[in-house]
Amino acid sequence: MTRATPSRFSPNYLQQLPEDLARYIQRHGLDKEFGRLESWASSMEKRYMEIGEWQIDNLVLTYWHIACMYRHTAGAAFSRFLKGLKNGKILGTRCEGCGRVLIPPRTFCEWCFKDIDTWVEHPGAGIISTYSLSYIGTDPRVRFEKPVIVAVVWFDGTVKKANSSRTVLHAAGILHKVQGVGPEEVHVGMRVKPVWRKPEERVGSILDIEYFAPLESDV
Amino acid sequence: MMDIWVAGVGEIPCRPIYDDMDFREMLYRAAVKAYFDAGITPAEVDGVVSSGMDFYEGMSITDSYTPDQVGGRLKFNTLVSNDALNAIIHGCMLLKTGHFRTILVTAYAKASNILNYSEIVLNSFDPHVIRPLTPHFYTIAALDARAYLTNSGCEARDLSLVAAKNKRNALRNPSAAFAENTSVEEVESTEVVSEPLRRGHVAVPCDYAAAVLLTTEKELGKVRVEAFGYAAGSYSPDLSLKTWGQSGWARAALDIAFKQTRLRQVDFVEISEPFAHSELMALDAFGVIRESICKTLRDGGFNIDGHLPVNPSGGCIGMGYPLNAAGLQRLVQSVNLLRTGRWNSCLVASPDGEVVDGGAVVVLRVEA
Repeated sequence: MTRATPSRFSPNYLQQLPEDLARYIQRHGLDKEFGRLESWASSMEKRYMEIGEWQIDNLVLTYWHIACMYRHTAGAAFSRFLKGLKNGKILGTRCEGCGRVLIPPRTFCEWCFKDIDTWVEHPGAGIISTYSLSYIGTDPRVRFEKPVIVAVVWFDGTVKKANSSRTVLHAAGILHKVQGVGPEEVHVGMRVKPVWRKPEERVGSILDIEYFAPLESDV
Repeated sequence: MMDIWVAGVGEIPCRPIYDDMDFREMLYRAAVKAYFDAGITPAEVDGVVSSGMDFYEGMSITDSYTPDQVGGRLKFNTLVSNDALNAIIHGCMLLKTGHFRTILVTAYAKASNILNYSEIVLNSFDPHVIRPLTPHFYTIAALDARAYLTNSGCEARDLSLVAAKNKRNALRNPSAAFAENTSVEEVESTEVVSEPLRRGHVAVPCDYAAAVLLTTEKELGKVRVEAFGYAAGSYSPDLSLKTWGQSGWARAALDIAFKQTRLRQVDFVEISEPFAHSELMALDAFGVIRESICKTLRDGGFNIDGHLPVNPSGGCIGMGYPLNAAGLQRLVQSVNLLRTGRWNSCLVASPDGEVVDGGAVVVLRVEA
C-alpha cells in the first residue's frame, strides 16, 4: 500500500493570504493541520468500514481542515444596536405602521414592508418566555456538570397578542443566558433584567450583557 | 404554452464593499425597487425563489434568512444552489405549474464578508487529489484559458480585448463598480496572476443584490421570458473529467432553450465572465457565430456597436463579480437594456461559478 504524503500549507501559500489570516493560521497551528501525521498513521492501520460480510480494508482518511474566514457586516440596524450595548443601552426600532417594537432592531418591517426609522431605548426588563437547562455545548466532547440556563427573554411592553386568542403574534426578544437562579426555580414568566459587564469591558457585543438575572421581586 | 414575463427588476449597484448595510438591508433595497418597478405589492407575490451558497454567505441554511426582507413572509420559499440564473429557471418552472401567478427571484453577494475566498473555492475540489496541492482557482481557470487559446487559435492578447471592451462598456452603466476607459495595452500591462491570465482579465468580486419579479400576467409583463435551459457539462471535483478549454454546458443548455422558441437570432448577449476567457469559451460553445470567435472579437463584432454586442452592460469584469448572483446581475442588466428600446431580444447566460462546467441560459424578448 502506498502511503500518501500529508500536505501542509507551504510558505508560499501563506504569503499570498492576507497578513492577519496567515498569522491566525500559524497561531492556531492550522498550517500543520492537513494530514496530521498521528491521525494518518492510526487511520491507515484500522479497519475503516464494515458492511455485512464485505470488508473494506486499508481505506485512507484524508483529514481536511476547512479554514473559511468571514467578517460579517453588521449593517445599519445591528451596528447601532451593538454600539448601544457598548453604552449599556438596549436599542430597538418601532414600525409606525403596525406599532411593533423590534429588538434586535431592523430598518424595515417585514409585516408592512416599509422602512423603519423610529428608534426606541428599552430599559431591559422582561419575562422568560421559554427556557432550557442545557448540559451540552457545540463541542461533542463536552458535557457540563451543572446545566446552563438558556432562555428567550421577551422585553416588557413589546408583546402583541391576537385579540381573540392567546396566540402571540409578535414579541421583541433575545436569546441569552440566565444566572442567579437555580434550575429548580427558573420558570416561564419569570421576570428578569440584564446584568451588564463593566463599562470598560464592553466591546459592542451581545456578550456585553453578561446574563439575565431575576428581578428582585421574582426571586 | 403558458407565457412568462419579467414584471419588474430591482438592484443595488455593485460596490467593492457595502460597509453600511448587511445582506438583509441590501436585499430589502433591491426588492423595494423591484416591487416599485412592477407596480405591485408583496401581497400580490405567491412565492420566493432565492439563490444562495452557504459557504459564500458564511452561514448554514441561508434560505431561512431570506423571506422577511423581500416580502416573502408566510409564503412559499425555496433556495436553489448554483448560479442565480438557475433560480430564475426554477421560478419559471414554478409558474409553469399553474399554481403560482407571480414569483420573486432574489440573489445577493456579500463578497466583502469573505476573507479568504480562494480557500472557499479550494474546498469545492476533491479533498484527496486536488486540495492537498492547494491550487488557487485563478490557476485552475488559467489551465482552462491556456487550453482554450490553444484550441481556438486565439491569443492571450485577445483576453485583454475582452476585458478592455467590458470595462469601457461599463462606463454607461451606473450599477458598475469597475468601469474604466481603458485600452488593450493597459490591460496587457497588468501583472500576470497565473499565466496566461493577467490581473486585468479577472472580474473582481463585489457586493450586490438584485430582485426580479416573474409573472404569468401579461398586463404586468415588461419583457417576455422566451425560453430557458440549464445543463451540466463535463466536470468532476477531482477535475479528471473536465474538458479543459471548453464550456460543455453552454450548447446543451441552449439546445434545451431552442426547443421552446423559434428565435435563432438575438440582438445582444449578456454572459457572466468571471474571467475574460469565460466569455469567449461560452460564445464558442454556443456555436451561434459563423466566423471564428477571435476574428469577430478583433474586428469589433462584439463591441456595443458591433453586429452582436456581448456584455454591453460591462459584464462582470466591468461591473464586478457578485459570485452566485452574477446570473441575476446579467438578467437585470438585460431587462434594463431591452427597455431602452435599442434592442428587441437577447441571450442571457451564466456559468455556475469560476471553474465549474455547468450553467444556464435565458432568452428574453420585448414584443415589437
